[in-house]
Amino acid sequence: MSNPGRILIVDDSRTIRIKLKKSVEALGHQAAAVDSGRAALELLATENFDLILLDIIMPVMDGFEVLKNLKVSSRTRDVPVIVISALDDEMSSVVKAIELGAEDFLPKDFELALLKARVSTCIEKKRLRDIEKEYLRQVTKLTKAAATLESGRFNPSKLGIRDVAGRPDGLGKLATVFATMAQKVYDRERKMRQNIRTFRGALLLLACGGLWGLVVPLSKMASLVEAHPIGLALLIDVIGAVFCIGISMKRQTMPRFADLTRSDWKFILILAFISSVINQVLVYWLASKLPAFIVSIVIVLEGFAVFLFASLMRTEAPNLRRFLGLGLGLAGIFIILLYGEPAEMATSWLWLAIALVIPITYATEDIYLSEYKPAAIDSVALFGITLVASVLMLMPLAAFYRDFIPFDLLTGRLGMIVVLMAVAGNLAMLLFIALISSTGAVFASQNAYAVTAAGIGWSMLLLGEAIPALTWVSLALIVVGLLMVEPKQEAEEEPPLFDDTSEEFVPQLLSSPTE
Amino acid sequence: MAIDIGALDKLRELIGGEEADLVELVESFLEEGASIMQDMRSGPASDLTAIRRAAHSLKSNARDMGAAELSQICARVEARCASGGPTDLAEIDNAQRAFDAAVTELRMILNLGE
Repeated sequence: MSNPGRILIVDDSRTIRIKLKKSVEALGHQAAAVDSGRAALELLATENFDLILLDIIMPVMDGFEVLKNLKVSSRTRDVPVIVISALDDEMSSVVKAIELGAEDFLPKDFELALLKARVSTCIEKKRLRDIEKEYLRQVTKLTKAAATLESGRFNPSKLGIRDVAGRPDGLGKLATVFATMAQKVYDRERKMRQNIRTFRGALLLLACGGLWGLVVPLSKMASLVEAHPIGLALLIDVIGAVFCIGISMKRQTMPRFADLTRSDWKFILILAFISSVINQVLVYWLASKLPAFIVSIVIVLEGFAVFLFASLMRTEAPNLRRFLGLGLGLAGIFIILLYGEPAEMATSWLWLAIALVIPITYATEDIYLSEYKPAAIDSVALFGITLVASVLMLMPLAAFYRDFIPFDLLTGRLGMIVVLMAVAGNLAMLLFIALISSTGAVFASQNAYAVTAAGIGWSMLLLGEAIPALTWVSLALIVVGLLMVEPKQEAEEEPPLFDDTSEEFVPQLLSSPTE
Repeated sequence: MAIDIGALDKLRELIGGEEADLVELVESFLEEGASIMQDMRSGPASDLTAIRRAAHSLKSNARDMGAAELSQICARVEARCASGGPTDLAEIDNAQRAFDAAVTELRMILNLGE
């Protein structure tokens, strides 16, 4: 038997069932037999058949009723049916059955040759119909994939056309070409988005670094008037807090205190401690002990510390290119260190050693911000609350060390410097929070290069130092390093999974039979 | 002769040529046929649908078994019911006699016990 099929026999007479079953089995087919229309429909709901041999006259549910039910379900609609009839007086019944969708008829006292011919033809037609349905299903899949591609939001590995591409025919070729092109479009768009992120990040980073870089020489200038590191930090945080909370109230982004969770408070307190109490006070204090450009140079080591932390915590992927980029930036700084003004440094090695704590605490702040910043709270409001917390922490310290800045000093040159520091420092911090949220801790940590470069620049400008040619070379190295450590790849939003579950889209080749 | 041997040979060939399969089929006919005859005789003569369906079923089975006379009688009973009756009770008696004769002969041909 070249083309065996699964055949369902439906007849209320046991004798006829045995005869039909043994006959089709003798032809090499598989057969199952049931004694009623109801039993046939039940079996068809769970099992697949290539052909149904159906008696017309049966009690309870006759063959016509069975035919109507078969045509309703998409599962059984295309299973061919041969009705069995005693030709002598049932011609009108046969006609009616064919109108209801039956494929053919077989007289009850059929000849072997006739049974063989009709069964084979029906099974062959069913096979061709199945192939055609599968083809149409795959064409529809491909069409859907094309529509998804046009919508612009897609993931090439989830277009659901892999099986279509596996076809050895023209449609398979079309699907393969389509899948390849979809992959190319996807890669190109992804690359473009990444470039835009890098460019935006770089701009933000330079702005942030330029502002922050101003803080060190300014704090040096402040210390030249009179050194009050804690008092300075306190004043700057008060100004920042007033501004940030004022802006947040005006924009109505201030969260209600009742809405802040325990972990939000934990974040605020830890950030206030690291950012204000440790970093700010340390920088202002060291600025009074070391030349401003040296403090700025030390800050660059933050990039390495963040990269190491992020690699150890596995929050961002370290790779050779990013490592080389950081190295290049560092090389630029060392050129300044070695060929800059070594004479001035020699006296301050102890202070320099203490200054090395700054990049480590900056890096801790970076990682902490990027990993734990509560997403639900507006950044400006969050920073405002943090500054209030900082002020509350700095107050007792300032009182203990009697480090408040005397009021009469503020009316002079120092007052001006404090205002400038508050604007530059707080604005830089807000930009930094935005930078870290959009580009990740490692890229944002390159902010340190910009801070260093700007710090050196501002130091020379504000404190009247000349800029050697080598400084420009090192700045170029820093910029190249910056571009090599590109921002972390943002996870692409998952496009919806391709839906290939519906089968109703298969167009019906047979027009629906009517009664 | 109530049974056409040629029809039985044809039936055997149709179901694959095995004597055991033919025996199974004939035994099924003997059992089912007796039940149908019982239905035809015991049910109310006015239930034309039931008698018609019974006659229809027995007609086809009898033809397969080579019981031409029984098949023809059943066809007449069926046709009468189809045209609105009334049921010809004498014809049903004829059917019973033809069935009994076919049973006896089939048992003999296939060496079947009682």
